[in-house]
Amino acid sequence: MTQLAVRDREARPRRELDARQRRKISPYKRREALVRILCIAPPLLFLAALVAYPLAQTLYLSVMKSTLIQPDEVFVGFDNFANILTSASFWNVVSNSVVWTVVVVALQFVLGMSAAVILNRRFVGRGFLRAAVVIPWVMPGVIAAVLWNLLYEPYLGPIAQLLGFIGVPAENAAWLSNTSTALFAVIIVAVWKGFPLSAIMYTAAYQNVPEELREAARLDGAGTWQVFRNVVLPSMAPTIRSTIVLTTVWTFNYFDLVYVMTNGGPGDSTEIFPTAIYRLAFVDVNYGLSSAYGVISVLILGIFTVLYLRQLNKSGSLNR
Amino acid sequence: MTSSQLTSRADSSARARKARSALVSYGGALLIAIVVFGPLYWMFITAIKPNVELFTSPPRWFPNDPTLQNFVDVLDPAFLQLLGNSLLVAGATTAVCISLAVLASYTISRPSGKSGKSVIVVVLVSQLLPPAVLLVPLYRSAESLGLLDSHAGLIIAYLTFTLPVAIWLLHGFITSIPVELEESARVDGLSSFRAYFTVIIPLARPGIAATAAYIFFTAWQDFMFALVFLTDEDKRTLPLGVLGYIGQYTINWGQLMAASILLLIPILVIFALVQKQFIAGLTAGAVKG
Repeated sequence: MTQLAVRDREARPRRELDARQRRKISPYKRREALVRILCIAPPLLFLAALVAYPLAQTLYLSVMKSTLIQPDEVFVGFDNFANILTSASFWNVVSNSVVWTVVVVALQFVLGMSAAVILNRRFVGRGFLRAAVVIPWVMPGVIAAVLWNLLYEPYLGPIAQLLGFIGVPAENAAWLSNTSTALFAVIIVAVWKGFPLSAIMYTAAYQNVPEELREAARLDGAGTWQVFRNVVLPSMAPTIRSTIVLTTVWTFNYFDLVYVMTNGGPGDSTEIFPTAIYRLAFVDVNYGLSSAYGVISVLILGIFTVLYLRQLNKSGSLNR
Repeated sequence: MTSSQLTSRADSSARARKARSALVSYGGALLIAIVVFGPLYWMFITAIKPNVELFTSPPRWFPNDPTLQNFVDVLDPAFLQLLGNSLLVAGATTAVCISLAVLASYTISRPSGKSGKSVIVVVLVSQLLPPAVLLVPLYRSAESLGLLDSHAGLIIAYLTFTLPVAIWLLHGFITSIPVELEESARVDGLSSFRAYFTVIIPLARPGIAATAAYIFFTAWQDFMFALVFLTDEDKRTLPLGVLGYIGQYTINWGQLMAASILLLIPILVIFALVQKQFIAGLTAGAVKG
């Protein structure tokens, strides 16, 4: 901190000097500025072409109507949005997405934090377990999906068999084909696949909590839970906030698991925004409606992005 | 009560506390191990089950007659083609993405990175956009440019979500290298650009490796873009190909799990190699912001 301040103080007069020199002649400086622009231009152009332009096109398509039978685009104003907001299937997607995101993120937080607490205790094999816990997270989504489809299989999978021991008949264990349980079955998989990231983040943050702080609280008579609640958690707050925002965005955008495991079904009981956007565009070939769904999901995520950037600003990592 | 009795009682209560603490540690560790390895165990035993044992109900937890036949069946020319396609697409994505990100980081992070802030905001915002939203317009652009069913089209599409992450991660790694190092190189007469490539980049190599690993992994496992962009059987990548073992009426679980293990192995090898830097980079970014 102090080092930075000193560097700043030294830098200022020098920069003024630079400016004075530049006003005279500095082909060298000008060349350096040119190199800098040349370096940033290709990535920025790529992002403009690959992110900004598609985004603009999504906005444009969301006010147009085009279908498979009538592919020419016709301007329809906000008709697509009006259609969506009055349709039950849209509100089903909204409620599924909210349940999906909130439950997955909450469970990932609880499981990740519990795992972090365990992984910071002393036991033989801790280094190995810390490394191995990452495996579900690095596993491709498609593989996690087919693996859990097998685990959930009512006749061939181990989960139904274990439930059978406590008297649940196999027919009732077909969670993925039951409209009232399918979403939660996929949620469990998303938690399994995602909690390792939270565990890693919290394990690292936990290690950064000064031992003296915990020791001092303990000497003041705080119990294990009180120390955790009043000392450890507050010091981990920045990590917790950014991890939660990140996992929220990722969970909201998740496609592979739902597509492979249930394909939005049965019925539309597991349809969330990404699968709905995909289905409308590539199965129904209704780009207008699909784009309107897209615009709404961008708006929802925009709120989270703003929260994320504000969090980054607060912790100062943008001003490094 | 003598003092020795007192100490022995204190000893035994301390021992009890220690035992309880160990019980929590090992009990918790065992739970984590079961959660993580349980599904992986099932994947493994399914892959080594012979055909007759795959469809016994209730399922067997230990195969009677383990075999590698499923792996042999899976490793046919078609699978090798998928593997080659995946290696090509993920490798090329990583190479292009890292080159662009290294160049961008020069402007953003060096020497003081003042102009970098706005670029970082743009990068972050695009990182948080839902890929599904970009899917339709990118598909249409690729269609009109004749890039559908081509690996080049897929590689370009992958840059939409890999480039922002790569710039963001590299920016973190590079700003953590002291500016003084570059300044002393410049005193020696190197231009800022030369100093960046001869001094900073070699020092940032572990960070670049970790970033490259992450990009490779992201491209390697992508399913959504591959699903939409590729219809040609010969062009398909592994995640799409794996689903080919799911037939309309039956699923060959043995081959499916064997193929899944083969898809998983490169990822695990890469992560084992760069794990330390990767986790350091990931957590540093999050702990600081």
